[in-house]
Amino acid sequence: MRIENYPEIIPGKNPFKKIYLAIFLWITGRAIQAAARTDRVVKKEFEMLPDDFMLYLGVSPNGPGFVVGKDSNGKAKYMGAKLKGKSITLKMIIKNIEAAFLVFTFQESTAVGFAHDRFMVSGNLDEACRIGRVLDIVEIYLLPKIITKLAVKRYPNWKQMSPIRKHVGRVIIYTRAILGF
Amino acid sequence: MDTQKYYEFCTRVKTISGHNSLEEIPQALMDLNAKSPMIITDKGVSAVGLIQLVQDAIKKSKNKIEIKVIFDDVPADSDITTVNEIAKLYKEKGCDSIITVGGGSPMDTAKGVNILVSEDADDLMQFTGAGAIKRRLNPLIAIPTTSGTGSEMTLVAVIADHSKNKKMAFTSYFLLPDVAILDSRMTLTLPDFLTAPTAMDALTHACEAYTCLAKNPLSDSAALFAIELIRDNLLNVIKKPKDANGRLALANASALAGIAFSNSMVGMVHTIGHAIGGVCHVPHGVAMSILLPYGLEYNLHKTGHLTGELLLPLAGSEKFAAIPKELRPLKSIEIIRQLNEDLHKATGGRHSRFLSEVRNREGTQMIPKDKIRDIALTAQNDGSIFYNPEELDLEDLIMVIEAAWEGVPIDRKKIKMSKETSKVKIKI
Amino acid sequence: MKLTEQFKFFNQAKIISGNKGLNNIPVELDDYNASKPLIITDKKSVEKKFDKIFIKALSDSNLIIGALYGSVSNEAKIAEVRELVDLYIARGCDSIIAIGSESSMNTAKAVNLMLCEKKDFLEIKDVNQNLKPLIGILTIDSRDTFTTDIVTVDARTLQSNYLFPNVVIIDPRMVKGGSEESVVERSLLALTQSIEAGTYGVNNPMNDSYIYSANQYIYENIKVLSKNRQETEAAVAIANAVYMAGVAFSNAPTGIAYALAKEIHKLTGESIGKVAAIILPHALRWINGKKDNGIKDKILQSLIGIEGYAKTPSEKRSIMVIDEIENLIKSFPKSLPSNLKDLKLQRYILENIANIIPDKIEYKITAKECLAIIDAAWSSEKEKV
Repeated sequence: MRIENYPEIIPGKNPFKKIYLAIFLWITGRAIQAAARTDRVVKKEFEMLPDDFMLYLGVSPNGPGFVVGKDSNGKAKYMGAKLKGKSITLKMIIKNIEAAFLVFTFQESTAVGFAHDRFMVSGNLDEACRIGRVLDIVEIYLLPKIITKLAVKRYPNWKQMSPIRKHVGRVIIYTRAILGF
Repeated sequence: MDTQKYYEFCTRVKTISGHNSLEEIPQALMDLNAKSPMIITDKGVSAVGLIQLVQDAIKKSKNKIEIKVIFDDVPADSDITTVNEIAKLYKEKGCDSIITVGGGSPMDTAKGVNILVSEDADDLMQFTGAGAIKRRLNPLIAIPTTSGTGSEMTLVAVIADHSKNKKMAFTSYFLLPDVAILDSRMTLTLPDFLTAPTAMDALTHACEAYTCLAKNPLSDSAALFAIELIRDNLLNVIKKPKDANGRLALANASALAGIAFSNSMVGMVHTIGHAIGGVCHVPHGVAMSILLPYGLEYNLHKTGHLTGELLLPLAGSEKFAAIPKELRPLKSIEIIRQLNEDLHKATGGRHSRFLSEVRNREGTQMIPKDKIRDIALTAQNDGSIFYNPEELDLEDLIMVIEAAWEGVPIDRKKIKMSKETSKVKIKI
Repeated sequence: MKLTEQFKFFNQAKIISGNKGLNNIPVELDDYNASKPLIITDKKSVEKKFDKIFIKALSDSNLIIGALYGSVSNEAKIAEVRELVDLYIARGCDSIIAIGSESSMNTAKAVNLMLCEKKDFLEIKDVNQNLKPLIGILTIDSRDTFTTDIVTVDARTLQSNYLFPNVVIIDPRMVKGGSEESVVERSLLALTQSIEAGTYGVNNPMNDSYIYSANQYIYENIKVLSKNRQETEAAVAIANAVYMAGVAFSNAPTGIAYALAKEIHKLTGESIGKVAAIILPHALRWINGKKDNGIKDKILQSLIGIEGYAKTPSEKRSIMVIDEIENLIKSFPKSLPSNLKDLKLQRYILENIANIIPDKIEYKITAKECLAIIDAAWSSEKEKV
């Protein structure tokens, strides 16, 4: 056998899916910040989190992802896409790009994604539960009902979330997410 | 059987089951290249002479196995200080492996110790979270003495840090024990009021594993076998505690249920049960027995067809065939409620049927009604809530806990149902 | 169900099955601190481009493939094993992945053994240590070696708990295609292994849970998949059954149908799966007549489902199992004849085999009884056993 006939192989890249995920996660990260300042339920969930709380939600091994934490005033803040140099208290990492694509194109709902072991969660589990609920609400604001229904277990009826709260909130959160305040 | 679109399954534990399986320990240690084990257990286990049995079994052997040290002081609410203390002892005495004997607490503690001694670390905290442990740990043999937790088959260790008022979860396939020894002698002396709830704990693992979101074909089979073994043996063992075959069957049921739920996770019964344990310090198995029928009931519109299938192991094939499909889900729930009733009678009233009935040794009610809201708030942040088929918000949790407190079925009109996915129309 | 008083069970392999399963390899290897695998596969797999699909699934990871060797022949060869050990060391690999046929997995296991025991494969007598991380990727050419604790190279066989792979992956992209014959042969080999593991073995509920799931998957999917080999769900299910049956087989004594089929394969090259399937109902009929053993009626539940099982009176269940299997075997006339005669085997070879089987298996059987089973399978006559 000639060893040089069997060279090392470096697997390729898949830029399209990575770009989609980067955009999706950028909007979601900023929308969490916006929702925490607009929606009272999300605001309350954030108040219950510890002061040093910092979430990284991203894809293994090299991202994309986002960091959301509490700033010095205890308010939710989007802190960029990079993990480096931040002391993360809760890490939610999806095992690979393909799995992330399944979850974030809603081919697998978040719950099914968990059931399919797509996520690796490190940190305090009750913080993860709070963030799970926050993400559900953020998705309700960001996405049309027909899509959100694929992502969440139970879409709220009008008693749980009135159409006014939803539609007004949606406009505000979108504006804030894009402008970043 | 549904072909699951995606699943992962792992039971890397060598299981040795039998009336004399303790005698297999020396060979099992040799196979793992170990000869100087430490025993980790609690006072309750050593007081009834179970550690003596283990020692005798090891002494009998021709293999040169020497138990270096026995630590039998694991407290019921073991924490990181205990883990550190034992790890120090392990290193001082030059041990190379661990034999843990007992229920959940000694097992979790032993897993924690094993991380520290194998990684040669001082701070357990750096190993929390998925994927933090990156190497095989030292040999660990688990010998359960209650037939319920299934810890001998799980990849999780929950260890408290009382100083920070925190519970940390460690998950890694490397935390699976290398060997589980199921020996009937280890559970022969367990009194009926402990046998009943621990077996019901195993039944809950099996039923939830079969009906929850992360079910898979292998966890399904393990769950069905576990239920059948419990059906055939639990009441008999309560009536005849010295029935060694029955005890061994329950130990197997517990291990099978552990395999099932370790690979498919559990749902709202555990969500609420953990919270009741946390808020009111009710033993885990007691909460499980009471809540199991409620969990199945709440999820009927999502997983009723699966609850219906549970009737086969719960009732046997004759009864199963005689009951039409659409009545089976409710029948399964009824049988579990009846089992609780029967256990209540068989234990002279010591097995609780509903939450308001749970009392401690002094006879005080353990779950006052005004704690229900606290329980629900705590439950909301329990990880198992992710795996429940139907959503549960605070209001839903309170509604379910109230019903379980009173001991009445859930009012199904109060369930905020998302899209029905049960393949059987439920007849109410 | 009454448990046997003493039993053991072990399965080291974690299974990952389903959509995008391959993409988890980097995370799985990372669990073992590994990131540079040696890939061992065979010509058949390369022809079907499984190597390409595999490499693509590793996109966007930090993994480097140390080398991809795609020329393993139909049987694992010691010379090839030795060369691959050199390749592994030269490239500084830290793990092994086997894709495809039995020979690929056997080669991978042997390479792993040589690396860890630091001895030539022929000198290794037993294994007493953990080996390098080994991942097996099942394809349509994979059989039980992917999940058993056995390795065979150049007719030398070793068995050890350390020889189970660490992870087995079933991904829809790798288990579709092939001929009807291959589906039938692969599925029925698995069925024979799991049914026999549940019959000659002890009452071990751990192993039984693999056995019943395997049976159920095969029964529910073999006909669908043999007609349409592109049917994803059925293809994944059958691959799952191959995995489960392999585990069950590792944890139970070898059955008579399998033992006979293996010897016949050695002498004639005929597929083990086909021969085993033809013999299976006859071997079962023989064992069902024994007082100390019989077909567990629960096997029927795994074959025809909860409803059918519950409706069948308990005394008829064992016989129903045999009938069901016989009917199943008859459903593939293009791929599988119903008796050994039509496989065009030499009759005298079978007679010789009957003489050696009693020494090869744990269960008590005489050469005469073996011959009676072969006779019955020869012409598919029920009354001979």
